[in-house]
Amino acid sequence: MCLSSWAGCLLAAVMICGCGAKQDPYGQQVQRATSLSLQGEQWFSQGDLRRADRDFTRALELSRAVDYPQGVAQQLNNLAAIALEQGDLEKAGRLFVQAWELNQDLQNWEQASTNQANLATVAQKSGDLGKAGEHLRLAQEAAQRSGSKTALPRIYCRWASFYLDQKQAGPAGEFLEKARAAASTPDLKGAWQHQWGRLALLQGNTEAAVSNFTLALESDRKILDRAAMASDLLYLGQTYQTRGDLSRAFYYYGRAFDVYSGLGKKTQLRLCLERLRQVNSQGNLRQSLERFEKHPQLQAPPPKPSSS
Amino acid sequence: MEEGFTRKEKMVGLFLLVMIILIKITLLVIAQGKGWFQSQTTYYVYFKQGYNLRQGSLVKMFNTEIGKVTSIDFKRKEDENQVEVTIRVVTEKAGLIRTDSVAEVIAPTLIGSEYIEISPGSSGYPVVRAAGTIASQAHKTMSENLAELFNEETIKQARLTINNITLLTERLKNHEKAWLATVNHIDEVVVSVIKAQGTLGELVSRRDFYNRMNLSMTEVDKAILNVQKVTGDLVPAAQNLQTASKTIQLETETVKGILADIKGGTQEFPGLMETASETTQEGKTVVEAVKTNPLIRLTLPQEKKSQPLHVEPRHVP
Repeated sequence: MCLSSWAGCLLAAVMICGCGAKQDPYGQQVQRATSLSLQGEQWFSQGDLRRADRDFTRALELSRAVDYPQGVAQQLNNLAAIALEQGDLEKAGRLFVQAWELNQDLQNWEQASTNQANLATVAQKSGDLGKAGEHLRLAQEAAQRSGSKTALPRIYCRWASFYLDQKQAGPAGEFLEKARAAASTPDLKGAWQHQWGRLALLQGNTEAAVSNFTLALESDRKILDRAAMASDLLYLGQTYQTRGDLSRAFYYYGRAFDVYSGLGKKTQLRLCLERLRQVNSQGNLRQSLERFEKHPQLQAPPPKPSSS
Repeated sequence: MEEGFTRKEKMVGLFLLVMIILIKITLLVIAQGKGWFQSQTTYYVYFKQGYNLRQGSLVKMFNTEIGKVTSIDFKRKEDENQVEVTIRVVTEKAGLIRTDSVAEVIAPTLIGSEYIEISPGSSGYPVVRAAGTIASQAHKTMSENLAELFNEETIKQARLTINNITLLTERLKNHEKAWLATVNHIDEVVVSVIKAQGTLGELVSRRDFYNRMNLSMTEVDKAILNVQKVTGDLVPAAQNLQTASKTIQLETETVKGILADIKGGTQEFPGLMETASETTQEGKTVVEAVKTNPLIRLTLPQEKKSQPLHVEPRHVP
């Protein structure tokens, strides 16, 4: 058969398959809400909370208007995540609970598991570790009920993080072992490698820590999770500082500073600057800190004290 | 001698056969795209008038096409002449038409044609059966809007205002006599002034008063001359000012022209926006249609799945 015959056949196949899109107004509206949500997720990962909030709010309104409860639950969760980023723990907790209740009604256990894991983060940030543990237990139960391949390992990684925050290497290691085989997607791989790196650092195995944080950085870079990337870089700096390789530590702290700067996270910027000063003086590196110290985000005036 | 088809005849036959097959395939593809094979349900909508609807006018829900007007007829229903509009809606979407759904004719602002918009029914209401009637809502015309404006209440108020004016006029008539008396009195005063009677009359008729006034006027003339000398220097400046004023006037005209253009453009803008929006919508529909083709879908990049945000402690400050 000559080329033109093949081309003819292909054209005929395309024509036979048809180009008839079915009319689906409800589906179109759901697709629009999903597109807005995706756009919001993009802004969120870039640290642009204002635009993320705008898109999630629109997606929520649209989901409510066309009676799409799955979308409503998802957008409540996303808006809560923004509130958490902005430090409004009360609002974040309230919205996560609303999303959890809705997902329970819908029997959507995978999303419900995420809601509980996020509530655990809220509790951890409030300093209530007991409550955080309770939320993680509920998240684990929901993940088990969901039957999702990714939900359970994600919660195992969260458990590991929970125990590592309390310097408990034993239970953290157990949970990471459980999650090892199932961590297949880039985001799960990144989370698992990061926690494994933290475990190695806690156990004093800096070589394994460097290797895992580097792998975590590669995985997080694939999905452009900038907050996770910055965290990997910060821990790389910390690992090199522990090893006594202060110039490498300075290099990684500097990179972490730049990524956090893009995300507009002032608390982490101050932490990075403090570490940079530390390693600069410890190692007598004589590096210039001017660009870090004079960073515009660190020049902002401190909030006014309340009149009371 | 053996009889049969020549090679040329066979070729022509084959060509015709191929052409018939191609035409059939094309028709099938067009029919699928146009939704000719889609099952459709007929409904009736009654309006007080036709609102420029015609056979083929669109029927929409959520601003999306779900069917078409198939025929328009006049019917006598409930002792009233009404326009019966028969519509055919894609059966898949018929489930959204419920007894609380309302059909309304939407008229375009500038560009486009009238179409019927049906509001989606609530889940608590039963579905309108095939060949059933969908409740309609009259589309208000300009004359109806005007009729609403000039209603009984407005007319009453206007009548009251006119009555008040009439009353006022009558009262003015009653005061006419008093007014005439005042005028006569003024006339008497003026006559006495002319005859140099009374204080005012004496003042007007005294010669020395005029002489003194003449002297004062001479002084005023001198002062004016001085002023003229001073203002002489102002003439060139004033001429320059005139030129500047003319230039400003010209510029103002230009600005006025620009503003008029902008105003004209602004009036056309909603129409243009609507057209652009419709075109974009149509383009999107075409792209979506192409995307449904399995062969094309295979080559498209995998779409990212939207998931709820999972916020780990390492993500938050």
